[in-house]
Amino acid sequence: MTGRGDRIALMATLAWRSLRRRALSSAVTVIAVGVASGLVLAVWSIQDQARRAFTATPGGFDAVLGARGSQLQLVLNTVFHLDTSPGNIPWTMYERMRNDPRVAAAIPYAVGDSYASYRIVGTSSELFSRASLGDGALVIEPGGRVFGPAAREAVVGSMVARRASLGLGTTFEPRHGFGADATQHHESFSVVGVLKATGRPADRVIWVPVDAMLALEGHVIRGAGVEYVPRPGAAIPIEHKELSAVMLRLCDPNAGFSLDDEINRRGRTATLAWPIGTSVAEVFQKLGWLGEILRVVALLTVLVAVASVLAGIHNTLEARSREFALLRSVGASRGIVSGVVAGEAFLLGSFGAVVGVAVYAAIFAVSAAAVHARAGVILDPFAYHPVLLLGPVITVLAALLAGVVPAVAAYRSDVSTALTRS
Amino acid sequence: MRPVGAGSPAPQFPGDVIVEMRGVRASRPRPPDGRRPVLDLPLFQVQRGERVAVLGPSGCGKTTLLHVVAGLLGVDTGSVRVAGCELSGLTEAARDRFRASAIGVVFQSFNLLPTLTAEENVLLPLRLCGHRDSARARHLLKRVGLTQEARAPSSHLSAGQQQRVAVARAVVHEPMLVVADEPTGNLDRASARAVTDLLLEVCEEAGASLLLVTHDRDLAARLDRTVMMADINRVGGSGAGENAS
Ligand SMILES: Nc1ncnc2c1ncn2[C@@H]1O[C@H](COP(=O)(O)OP(=O)(O)OP(=O)(O)O)[C@@H](O)[C@H]1O
Ligand SMILES: [Mg+2]
Repeated sequence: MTGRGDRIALMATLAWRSLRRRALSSAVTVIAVGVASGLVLAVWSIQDQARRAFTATPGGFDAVLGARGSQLQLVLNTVFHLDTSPGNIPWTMYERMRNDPRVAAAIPYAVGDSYASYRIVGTSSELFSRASLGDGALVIEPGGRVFGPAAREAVVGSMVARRASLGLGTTFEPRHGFGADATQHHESFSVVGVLKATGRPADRVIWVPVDAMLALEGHVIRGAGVEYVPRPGAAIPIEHKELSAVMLRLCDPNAGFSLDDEINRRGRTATLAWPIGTSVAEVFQKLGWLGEILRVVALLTVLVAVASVLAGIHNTLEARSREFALLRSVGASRGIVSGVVAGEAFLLGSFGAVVGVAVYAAIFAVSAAAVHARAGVILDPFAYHPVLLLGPVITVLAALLAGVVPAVAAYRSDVSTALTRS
Repeated sequence: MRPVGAGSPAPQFPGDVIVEMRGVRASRPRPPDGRRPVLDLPLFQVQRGERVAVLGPSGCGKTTLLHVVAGLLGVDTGSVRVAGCELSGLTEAARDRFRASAIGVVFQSFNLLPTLTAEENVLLPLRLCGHRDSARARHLLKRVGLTQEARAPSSHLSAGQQQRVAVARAVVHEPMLVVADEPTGNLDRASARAVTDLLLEVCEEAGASLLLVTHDRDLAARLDRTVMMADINRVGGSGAGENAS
């Protein structure tokens, strides 16, 4: 039949004009639909991305050796530089790992000091060595260099350099501990290198030689089981030295199994977190219920938004029955009248879906910034997730479904009755 | 006889009778669940090109008669033949298509869709049959003296202007028959006169018959024939049919 396109255009015009006439109510509905749609996109996509970003083993390490305790705490503390250190292990364990044929690289970590709320980690220059760590090695920006073996020098992460104004050549005095309880050290470190941004937690860390860190005045170390106070200028005897953790790069997966067996199952003094990604994945599993709640909340807002589409349109039907009857009296079918009503639902859903993408982008930007600032992990705004395509489509379909109720009501209304009712 | 559909050529029919109702009974719902008979017409006819005024007291079924003729209301029994088309045998969708091509309507008030401009309102019947002849719509608006107001939202027009737009819309698709239900009932004398003049003129120009309901005997006298509802409808007067069911 001719003119079908024109009739659709007519329905679209009437639907659009009707929404525009009650602009405020339409805008509120679109925002409600948009927020709900954006929440759904955000809850599904950000959670998934966060899990992927966190579980992707960062820094080229396969395992972490630390004090006896929780593997997760160890990983959070060393890989993500979050949480507190579970305790210390003697330096000799590091030496043993370094000489173990199953271990490709072993890097010492000593934590406990901070500057401007950024963590200071005592480590070895091997952390910057491609030979040892391959692509996981940290890269220093041109112009900088690695710190000297025991010098009061530091290499700072890109975020620290920017936010704490620690550029090349600047100096700082570390504080012992974190936050309000921290006490001031009076030795000054100079920045000799700034790291290229990695998008990993390393951006938020100040790296110093482990020996310089251990030797700071006020540090008491117990590597040999007795308290030892380092003397200024003198090297610390190896048996007294201690570390928070040793980061390990293993030769092959079998090495992981046998070390796991040796340290975790048969040993009693230390914990091996291996593989690193598994510990993090466990967190997300444990927090699964939280995700469920978020999903349910998001779906409930969708329900409310869809209901507001339904009620918003349905409320107008009574007042517009005369208009619909007029349309009928000039020859429009019931189908056209209900098409106008359904068209309104479709338009509300479509605009809502567009607003939803914007809401999602905003939520993403805020949460990505928060995750980056707190955990140094970068969420990729362009990472594909099926919900990013499905969400908007489902939003439009849900709105259309909500429009069915008023559309049916409009379809059923009797033209002659509506015309005689004044 | 095939039903008249959108886009089909002007219906052919024998003779010069444009409306013929025989043995028609129509009813309206009566709350809570009964039906009240409103029309019982042994015979009612309108000739081609004829302009007929329908007079009668309130509630005697004048509007109902127009709705039946325009295919807006189905009948209980009897034959309703309009422009060669037997409406009683048509589905509602077919009656919609028939109305879109063969009937023009003017009501007492609220004739226009408030979200459309005057011109868009006039274009409506054309768009519903798949044409978009803006030139014809503008010509008719000019004909009823509303060139300036063509682009105005119809809700911004005065009552008289709105009725003139409705008159233009009633004939834009060159219908066989225009039905008008007290088209000047809401207007002052001068506007009523102007609207009536226009209605008669454009119907004549479009070659359309006119079936007009009015309470105004002077207006009725200007048409070819006046029909008293009491003479044709066996269900008479207001409160009709209280004891007929
Ligand atoms: N929508 C309706 N539902 C139920 N009954 C109706 C409806 N419209 C009209 N009626 C009844 O049908 C009868 C005829 O009504 P109709 O509107 O045809 O009268 P009318 O002659 O046009 O009156 P008026 O001059 O007041 O417009 C009246 O008794 C009226 O109460
Ligand atoms: Mg009436």
